[in-house]
Amino acid sequence: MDRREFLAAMAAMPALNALQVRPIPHYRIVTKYKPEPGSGLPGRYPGRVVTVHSPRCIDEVTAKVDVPTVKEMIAQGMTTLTGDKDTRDSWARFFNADDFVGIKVNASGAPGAMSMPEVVAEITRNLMVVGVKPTKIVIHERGSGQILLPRYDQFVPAGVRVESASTWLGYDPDVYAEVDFFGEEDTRSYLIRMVTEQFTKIINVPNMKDHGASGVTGCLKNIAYGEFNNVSRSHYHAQTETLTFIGTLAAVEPLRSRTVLNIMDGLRGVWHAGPFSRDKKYRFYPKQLKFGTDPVAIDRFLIDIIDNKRKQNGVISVWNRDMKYFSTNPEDWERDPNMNRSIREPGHIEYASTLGLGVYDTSKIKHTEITV
Amino acid sequence: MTLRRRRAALFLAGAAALTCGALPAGWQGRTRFYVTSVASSLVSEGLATPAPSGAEAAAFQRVPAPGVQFKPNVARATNVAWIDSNGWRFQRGIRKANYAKLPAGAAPLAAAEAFAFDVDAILNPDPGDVKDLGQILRFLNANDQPSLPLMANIGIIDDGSPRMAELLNLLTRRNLLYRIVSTRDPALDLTIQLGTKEFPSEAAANPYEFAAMVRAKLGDDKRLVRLYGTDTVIARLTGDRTRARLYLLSYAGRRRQQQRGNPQAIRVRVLGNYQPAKLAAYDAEPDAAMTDIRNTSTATEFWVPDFNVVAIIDLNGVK
Repeated sequence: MDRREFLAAMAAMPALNALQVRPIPHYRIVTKYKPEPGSGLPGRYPGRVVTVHSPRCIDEVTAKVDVPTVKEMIAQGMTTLTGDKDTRDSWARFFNADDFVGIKVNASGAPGAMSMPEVVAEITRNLMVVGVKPTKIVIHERGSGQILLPRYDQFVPAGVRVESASTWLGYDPDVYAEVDFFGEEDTRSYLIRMVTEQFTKIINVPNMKDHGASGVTGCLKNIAYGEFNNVSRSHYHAQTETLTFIGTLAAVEPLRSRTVLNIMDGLRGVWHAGPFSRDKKYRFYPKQLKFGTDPVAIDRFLIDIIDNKRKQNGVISVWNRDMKYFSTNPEDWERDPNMNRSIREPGHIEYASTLGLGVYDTSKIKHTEITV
Repeated sequence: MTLRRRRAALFLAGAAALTCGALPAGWQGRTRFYVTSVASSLVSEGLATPAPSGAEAAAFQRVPAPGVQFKPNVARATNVAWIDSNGWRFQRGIRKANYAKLPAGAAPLAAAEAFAFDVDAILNPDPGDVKDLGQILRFLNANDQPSLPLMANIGIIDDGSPRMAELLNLLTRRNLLYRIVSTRDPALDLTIQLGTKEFPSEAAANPYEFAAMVRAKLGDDKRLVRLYGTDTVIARLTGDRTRARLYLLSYAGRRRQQQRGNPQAIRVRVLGNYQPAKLAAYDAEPDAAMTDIRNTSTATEFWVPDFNVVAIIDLNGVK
């Protein structure tokens, strides 16, 4: 299914009758970078997902993370993904001493929801085991305020940097996506310069969250909206452009080629009012980590995790597009999980598959689940 | 950076401009600033002239205070802040403006607005703004130079109506650079005349949509100035292909304090090939500079660092 067939199929869905199906916006991608052969999304293991569960990885009352368990989960996840016996060999398939590695976390819901510092610390430790120097590891976010809240610096060795686009290098003027969604004046979204000029590899570490505009926010959105600026313009209105914008940004070089590994942090998640986590009642504890190089395949399962939790709580699905559940008042959406602030677009994940970013069809995804 | 250091930097920038500029003999500045008695100290400093009275004062047309309104909870066609700019009034022909009632904080922007549009201005500042007004007048004086011709590629045949006023306002706010013309000018890329087939009168019923239509008809690639990273800055471009001066007026001032010192506050695209020669950015860091200058086949692009109220950019044409 190509992009236009995909949109045509969506137009045929009865649930969409009340809404106009928007044409694919005209995207102009400006980059001097070419795809790096044999690298990047969907990576070494397309259509492959490893999920490692552990009932003891986090305490639901205190939110305290059990570090030895997380360490074991990451070791099991990586070796199962690569087929190696030794964890070091698994990491060495992706990284070596010559690499400059960016760890793209998600801190937009911090401190209530975020890529857990203990998970990030263990990833950092494994990078150092295969020779990556601490000074060549950068935990980063786009926003300067968000990256400071989890205090990653207190969990990682000296030398590891914690940065944002505001604190280091800013944006690359030569790499951007230009598109006019709603007549906005600022039509460009620039890629952060850490990605273009420093990193040789990126580890994508999203966490499991609902998102009021994109339906869910996982691997794809974490690198797309988390590495480019001026992205919220896609969801100022009830009907957003997240359906196509997320995948389009994730496919921009060199971001696509350099994102070699995805580790989704599902120790704690958010099932409504994401990507933030202002209200504790919308947090939940999937107690798992997902591993893979294919962001589409991992995100495909994320939809089910968030939607199942919503169903369990008796509220509308992330796929529900009925305008009777829509409110322009953000307080309604925060208060009532049966209210939408935008028409959610979980279809952005399938759309990304039409760009070649990964496998969406669950029957074609090899999913291994482990419990430690 | 402390305020004292910033002021020192401003003074140095101003001094450099004064010593390096080649101003004509007897040059007294483009814009005459007049102040009411509340700011008499600025007269004593030689920064302004006492506000006129009688017939001379009557030649000054009252204009509202410039500024911006953020109305996040008001339903509207766009999320963009509401800019209150007099740019369109000045484009329409006001050469003498009376900012008769300036609320607290508005005086520096009023002075910068008048300066950018070559308008003489009476300023009646809030008493608490006199010091800031003096500071920006020093900055503007230090960066004054003889007027350059207005650069625009849209012509508008102004019918003088209130409806046209709102259209001009929105074109100004959207940085669709225009000048008022009496007849169609083939040198311009687009001429707007209401009541024509291209611009039917009924299209003006929704000024927002009308401005969007003008933008679409011109095409973003042909716009003389594009600003990325802001929707509260208005640009005015003067000069020609050999030399140009770009004024950037920030109607929101420095809205986010955490952005202070950001070297990439606004990405500017100016149509044509230029070499940015000088940046004068009010209340900017001492090392503020234009960066990542790029000359594409049709345009010049660069970052402008964080500034407050006004930035002035001189560009030299590149053959």
